[in-house]
Amino acid sequence: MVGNASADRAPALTVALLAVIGLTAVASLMVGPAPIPARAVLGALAGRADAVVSDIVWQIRAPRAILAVLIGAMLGLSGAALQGLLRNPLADPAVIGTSSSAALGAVIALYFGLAKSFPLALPILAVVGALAGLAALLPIARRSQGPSTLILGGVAISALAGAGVSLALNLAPNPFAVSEIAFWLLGSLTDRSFRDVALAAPLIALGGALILSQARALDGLALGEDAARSLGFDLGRVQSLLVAGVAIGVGASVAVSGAIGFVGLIAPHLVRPATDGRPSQALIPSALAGAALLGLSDLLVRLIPTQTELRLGVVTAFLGAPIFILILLRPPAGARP
Amino acid sequence: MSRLSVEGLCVDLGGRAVLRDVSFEARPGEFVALIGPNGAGKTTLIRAICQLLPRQAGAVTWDGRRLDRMDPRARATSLAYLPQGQAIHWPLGVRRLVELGRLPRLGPLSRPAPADRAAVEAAMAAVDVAELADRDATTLSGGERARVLLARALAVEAPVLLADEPTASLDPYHVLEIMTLLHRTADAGQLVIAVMHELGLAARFCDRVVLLDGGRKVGDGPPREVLTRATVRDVYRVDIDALPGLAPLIGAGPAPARPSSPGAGLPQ
Repeated sequence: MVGNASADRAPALTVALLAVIGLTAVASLMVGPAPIPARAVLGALAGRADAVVSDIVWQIRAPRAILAVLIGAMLGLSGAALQGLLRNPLADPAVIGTSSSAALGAVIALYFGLAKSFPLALPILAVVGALAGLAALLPIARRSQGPSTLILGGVAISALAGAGVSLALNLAPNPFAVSEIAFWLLGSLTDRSFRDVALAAPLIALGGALILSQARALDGLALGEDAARSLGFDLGRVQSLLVAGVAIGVGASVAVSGAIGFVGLIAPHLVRPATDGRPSQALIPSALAGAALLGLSDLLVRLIPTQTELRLGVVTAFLGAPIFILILLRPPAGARP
Repeated sequence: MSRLSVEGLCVDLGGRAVLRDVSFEARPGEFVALIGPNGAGKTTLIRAICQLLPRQAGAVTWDGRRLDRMDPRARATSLAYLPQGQAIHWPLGVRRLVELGRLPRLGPLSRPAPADRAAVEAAMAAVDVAELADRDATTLSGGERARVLLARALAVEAPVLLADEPTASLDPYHVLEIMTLLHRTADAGQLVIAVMHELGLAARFCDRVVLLDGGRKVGDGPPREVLTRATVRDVYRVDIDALPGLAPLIGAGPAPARPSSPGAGLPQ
């Protein structure tokens, strides 16, 4: 049974997710290599702390906590939007090639050493890479008569971008360059600053707005493409706006954090049972679930003591894959498997 | 008075001519069956009327207005379309599913108005699915699904309803139920055009049949006049007596008590 019972669960879920996000964000401010007592952190937040503590909290930990929320939300929202658009519960931002084309842009910056001379070169080239992938996909999105064309186009763009990354690894002049690229690809939010927030936040806001503007069309698509078009939706436009929103927002996210898998895939699955089944109603809760997941993962990165720093993409995969399996094993809501 | 007018419609799909110069007119209150053998172009015609396919020539107008030049949302409130099959991609509640019929009338942020809620309740009552309102639509039986999807199309409250094989894969009881509902919808003043395969049903429930063959219209009128023994043989390549119960319905003489063999009536 879906209906009213689960519709009533949606507000409770939203509140619970907001609480998790808030708690992880606060905890994120408390945790780091420098041992700062909780009281001192709270003092710094209130503007009453010495300059060093204040700098650590505001310049190092706060941007990291904010980015975890923004990027997690963008990944969750994109996953929900793409699953709705493609009517495929396995869709995530990687499916349309955004993650890999953004990664290629970043790898180009690393390979040519641009990131060393100009720190913003990496995120900017990653965004450029995401937009280039989008430019290749949009003509396909406009022409495609079904979700499979779009998925295949995304696979092709992913493969091409992946080949570019492999080429960079292949031609890297020394093992250090290889490990720099490979490490970046694993994803991280370590040592990000408000400059990264300033770069990513506007693009994430734009991408999120584009996606949310098409929420109703996702509901119409629940009955298939013909039904959605007969309900007055121009699917070429819907697909283009959604794909553009995902590419811009996720491109900006990858630019700052590196590639982070599984958040976009599992966030919608976590929240969908509590919604009334309409894809539009899964968008905001998925964004919240993504923010909570990434916040928790980034906390784990710092709490698990390892010799070499754990990378965020590794943690989300270790956290995400078992959750995904548990979701799949959960007894079905109705008669349908 | 309003009317739907199809003029000289030609549609090519994949370089092949699927519809050639099809024209007809229909008015509210009519229940028109679109019939013809497999591949005759019935689904193509209904999708082309809904502007879901590009056309090579011709025009479709409603109330004198070209449908292809109408704003998509205005068009969506004039024509309701019930596609073939029973695709429901997410576990929607039944009421939520029926509410999708109101999407053309909702802005991106507006909430359903009392008129929208009333239309949804009326549509669910019309097809008798009110008691299913809180069920997950993907868990319904085929007959229940067919009624719920029809309710979705009725909730649009469009003056024209186009249904593509609304009774496919239903048992006889639910076939008659859906046909009765469509007939009642036409009686209530809507124009209903349905793609149908079973000639007996078309003959029994519809005021008029439009017969397609090879992409051309080859018959148009009351079932008795169109479905003659000769036409059925030419278009469908079967003897009318091989179709149980059809002959008496269209006045083609009594059917033989029992065909000599199950395959009787197929040309040798």
